[in-house]
Amino acid sequence: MNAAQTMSATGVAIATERIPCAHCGTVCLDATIRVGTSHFCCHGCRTVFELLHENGLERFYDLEQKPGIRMGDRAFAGAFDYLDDPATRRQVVDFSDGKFSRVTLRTPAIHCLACVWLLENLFRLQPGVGRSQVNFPRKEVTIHFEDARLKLSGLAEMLASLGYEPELKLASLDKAGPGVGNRRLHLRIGVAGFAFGNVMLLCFPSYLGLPEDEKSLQPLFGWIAAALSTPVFLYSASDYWRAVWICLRRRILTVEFPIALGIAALYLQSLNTALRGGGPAFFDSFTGLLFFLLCGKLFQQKTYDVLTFDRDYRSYFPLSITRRTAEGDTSAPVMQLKVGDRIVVRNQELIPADAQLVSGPACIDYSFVTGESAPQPRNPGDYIYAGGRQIGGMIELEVSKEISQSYLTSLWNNEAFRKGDASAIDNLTNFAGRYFTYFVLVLAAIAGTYWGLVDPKQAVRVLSAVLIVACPCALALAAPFTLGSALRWLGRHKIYFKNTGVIETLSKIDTVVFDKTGTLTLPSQGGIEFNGDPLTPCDQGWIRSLSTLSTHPHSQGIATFLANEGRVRRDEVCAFREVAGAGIAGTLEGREIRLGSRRWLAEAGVEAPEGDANATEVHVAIGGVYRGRFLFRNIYRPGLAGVLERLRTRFRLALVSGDNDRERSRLAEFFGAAADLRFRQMPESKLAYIRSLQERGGKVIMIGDGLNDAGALKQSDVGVAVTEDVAAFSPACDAIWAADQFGRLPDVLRFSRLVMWVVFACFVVSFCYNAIGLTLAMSGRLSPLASAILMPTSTLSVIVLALLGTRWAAWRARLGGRSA
Amino acid sequence: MSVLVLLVAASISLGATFLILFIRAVRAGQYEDTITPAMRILTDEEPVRPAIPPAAVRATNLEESKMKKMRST
Repeated sequence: MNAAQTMSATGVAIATERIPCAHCGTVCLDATIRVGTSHFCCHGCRTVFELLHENGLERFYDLEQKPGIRMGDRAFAGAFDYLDDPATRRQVVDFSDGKFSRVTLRTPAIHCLACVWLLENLFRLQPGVGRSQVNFPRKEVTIHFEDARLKLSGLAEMLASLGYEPELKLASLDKAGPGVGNRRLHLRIGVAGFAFGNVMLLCFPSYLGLPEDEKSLQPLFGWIAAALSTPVFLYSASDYWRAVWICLRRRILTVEFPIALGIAALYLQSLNTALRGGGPAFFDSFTGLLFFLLCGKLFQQKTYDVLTFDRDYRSYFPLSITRRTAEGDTSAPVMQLKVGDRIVVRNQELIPADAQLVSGPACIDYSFVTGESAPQPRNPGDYIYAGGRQIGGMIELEVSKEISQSYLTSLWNNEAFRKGDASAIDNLTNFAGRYFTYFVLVLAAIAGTYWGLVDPKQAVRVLSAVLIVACPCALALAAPFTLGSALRWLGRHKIYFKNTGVIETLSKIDTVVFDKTGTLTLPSQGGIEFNGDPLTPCDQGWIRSLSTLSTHPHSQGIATFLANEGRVRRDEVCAFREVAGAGIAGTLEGREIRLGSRRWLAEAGVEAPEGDANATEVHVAIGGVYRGRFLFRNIYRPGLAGVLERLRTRFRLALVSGDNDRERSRLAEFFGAAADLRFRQMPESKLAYIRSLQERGGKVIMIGDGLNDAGALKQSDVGVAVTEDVAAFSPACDAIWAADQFGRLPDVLRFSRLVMWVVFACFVVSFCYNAIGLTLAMSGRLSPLASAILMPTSTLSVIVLALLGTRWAAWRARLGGRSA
Repeated sequence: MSVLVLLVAASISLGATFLILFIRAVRAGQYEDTITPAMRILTDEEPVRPAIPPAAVRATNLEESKMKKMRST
């Protein structure tokens, strides 16, 4: 080598001060915009800030900490013009009389009190807007406005420019949200409660004993009680009669059937007694029973609403994509894409939406969607379906259909990726649900006949009590609630699991296998040196053009390293190829550029010098001429030693790396002597290794970067992709982890074990409750009223136990607290 | 004795009044959203009246509920 030249690594420029944007709180990078004493991360934020101050709405910033929504540099002019088309407008608007209109828009960006305040003070910002009201749980705002002064498109534009872009789905007429269902329940509870209170009052005399001369009042009270209870029977209990009708028609037995039987028995028997002049009989139990049953239902409904309300935009992994606009290419979350946006997809990246191919020869791998792994070539103008993966160079697409996050998640859960058998929990839950009702009916029959013989007056009471007290709902709810709650906790820490089954598998893990490059190391921040003749800026631009097309950590590292020199001409690279474990190649201006291992260059006939076997090298050749090599010095993730030490005590550790074993001694320090360290592994050998571990009875979790070890991730019992940039998503993995949360690995493993204990505890509680309740009921010691109170109590207690238990588990595993 | 009957009648009619009021409140949508009003009181300021006259707002609300009834039958 002639004069070896070293270029110092530039790495990523880190701002020396971390100033948060005055509007949205995101840390401003070096291109900060300053106005007076305030800093902003982008012009959008600055515009909103100034707008609010000019209109006397500074209070927005007093109500919460940095409540603004990050605007970026998006413009909305003309984006909503289609709303002014009369047919469309009629669909969107709730009501319009020609002068004033009322529209309810879904604005998912609402997240805090300041948002509510701002949106309800919209009239101060925009002339023509009247009263506006926010419905926070449903993330909706209802706005009255004057047609003559404000167009619907103008209203939408204004909301969008404040950060609250309305979500307009014309196809869905999902107007009946959770509120309406609750309304019916509220009315039924009202009627039942009214009857319950009054009937209880009427029953007091019979409990306390009526004096002789007032005994004639007894039948009267009975009739009044019957009159009050009948609406309860007919109206409040109507949901149960509907369920019974469905059961009879479809010849299946649901949980409501025994309860309906119990209610009917109680009512009819009491009616019989009352009509014969026997007084109010069991009407107090009956009305109380229904009142508490319905209250329990309402509470369950509300709890469920609260849980699902959180799930919409947080628990889904934030897949991001590169969006191309007139200003350049920026990374954007997939959910922000609109029809007509241009996106850029690189090698191995997922296409998140149905789109039309604009440029670049595409070769799409639809294995995630169809299971077929043969990639299909596509030409500009072709329609490409969401879920495909691009193999080859960079392509540009225009989004044709709106993103469905649920579609992507369902892809992730596709049959093609199902691994292992159904979880033990699912089996138990299904079993419980199916046989429980039969079991209860049998018990009720036994109790009924026994008591019918022994003490007929009590028979109906006992029958009702038995039918009502048994509750399998707790069994069916324990697992979903606990695991769902656990997933939410993890989502808050930017750790996304495919589904709840992953937690169960995770709790049984005993071996942890790591990939090295990109997982344990930080390639974009490692020291990079270049050995060889100095590269001209033009050369650097060419190399960079090629390496940005690949998502491999080394390629990204080289791209960042060469960031300052040369022009990037990604679009002009032809015949791009990437071979895992070997390198990348592409042709620019007729010359082939190769980046990769010695063997990779040798394939093109380029002789690379014998290198330092102890360094990670990436050789580069341009136009068949060897130019030099990039040396990578590994920088390990901060805290890696600590993480491995904590894992060592409980798990078997292993490393599979495609790199050479230069770092063996250093890694042995981290991993400990017992760990298995394997180097120079091809993707297939990684997979084979994991399979061999499993054949020996181990349960393996594999941590990789999701790209080059997709096969191994799929083979392992749990495959985790640790990624800095969630565009490189591989559905073969079971969990996606934000790279900065890597240190939480031992915590998450512990959390999953604790969560399984919580589920078990819930099962035990539910079982005990049923056992005790049924015993008491069958022995006649439980009144129907008491069982009506006990039943929802058990469900609620299991739900509460599930939620609190998960919170406790999170605290114990040091995943507690709210973050992001 | 007759006092008891009178009292029972009185208490039931009182209860019935409240039941009717409750039903009206539920149907007017008061229970649809119990979270946002709780947040609103925390803003701690005098409410400012918007420019569009409330009469117009009431009119649109009335019209709208009439249309809803027509649509649902």
